[in-house]
Amino acid sequence: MTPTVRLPALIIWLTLVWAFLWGDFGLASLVAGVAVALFIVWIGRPADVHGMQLTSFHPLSALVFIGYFSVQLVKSNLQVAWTVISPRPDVHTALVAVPMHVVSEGIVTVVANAVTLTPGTLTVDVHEPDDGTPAVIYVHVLQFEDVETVRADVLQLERLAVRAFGTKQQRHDLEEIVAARAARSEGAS
Amino acid sequence: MNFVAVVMLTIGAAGFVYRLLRGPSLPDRVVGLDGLLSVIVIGIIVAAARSSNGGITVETVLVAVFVGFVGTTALARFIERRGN
Amino acid sequence: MDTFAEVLLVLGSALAMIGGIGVVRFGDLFSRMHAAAKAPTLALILAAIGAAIEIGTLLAATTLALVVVLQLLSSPVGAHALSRASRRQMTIAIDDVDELTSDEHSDL
Repeated sequence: MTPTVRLPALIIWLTLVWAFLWGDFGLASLVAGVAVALFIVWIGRPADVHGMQLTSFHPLSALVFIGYFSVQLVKSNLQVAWTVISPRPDVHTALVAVPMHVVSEGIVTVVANAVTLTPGTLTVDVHEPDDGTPAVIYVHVLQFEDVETVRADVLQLERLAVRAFGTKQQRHDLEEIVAARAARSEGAS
Repeated sequence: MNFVAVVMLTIGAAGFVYRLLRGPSLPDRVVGLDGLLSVIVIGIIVAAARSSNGGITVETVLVAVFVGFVGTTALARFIERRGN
Repeated sequence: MDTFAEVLLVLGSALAMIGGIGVVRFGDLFSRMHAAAKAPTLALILAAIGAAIEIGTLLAATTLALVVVLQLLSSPVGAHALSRASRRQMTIAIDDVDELTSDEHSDL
């Protein structure tokens, strides 16, 4: 998308990894890190880039996302532990198709990975149609209740991810979809 | 405390080894192998925490995580092409 | 501080044990993957934090921080790669709704 925005973030990340590996945050180490990072980016430049990278970054929302995600990770392990220990595990599996609403591959990747680490869900497959419509994530569920619950959970993840990593346009569109859903369920009940 | 940790890790490892040996399918065995590697890695971390030389041992953990990931993905590709 | 690190290490080991028991107890491949993807991941993270506190050097802390990040990135991706490949090769028992199979059949 915008390689000029992506590049500094990549250099910073690689330099950080360098500094972390050496445990040395001094000036000499950082300069060496930047040099190595530039070299790696040069030899590793992709031949054909199309929308894979996360194009924007909102630090506060990213922190919210990481916080939510960490809590979910702990809860998912508690659930697994409970299911493993209990004498009669009530496992009732299902495979649910959850369509995404944003088109960005980067966000779909983030959400698919996050789904695996949330309670009761596991990403099994992702179908990406060629014609630019959003991808579909197939989620395996351990304790299945109904399709809408699963989709709502994933939508929540997607919402937080878009807030953290999406462009203004994507955030706006998604908020509209969320509001429409809420209005529908209000009307139904 | 150390003893408790080691016993629990051993039980976990035994579980993964069971899956590795029993299968019944190849992906089941990959699950067992990957889990076994993770348990070994955690064991290294616990041992490194106790020893006086822990700072060096921790580097091996980094490599092990890489190896585990690359190995699991490679096996997954193999399954995709060659079946069970 | 040291006892906190000890607790973390023991918790990590306990979670690893639960993962191991999980892959034995669960009846089908995907359920086993739930246990195998989630439990060792958090167990590794807890153990890494405990070890970082216990060892105390900056180098150990930064290396273990890298380990945590790498584990968080690689574990779900590995599980996904394995699940996807397995589905192509064999049928997995699903109790209830199965939209992936029906979607694939309608595409074909």
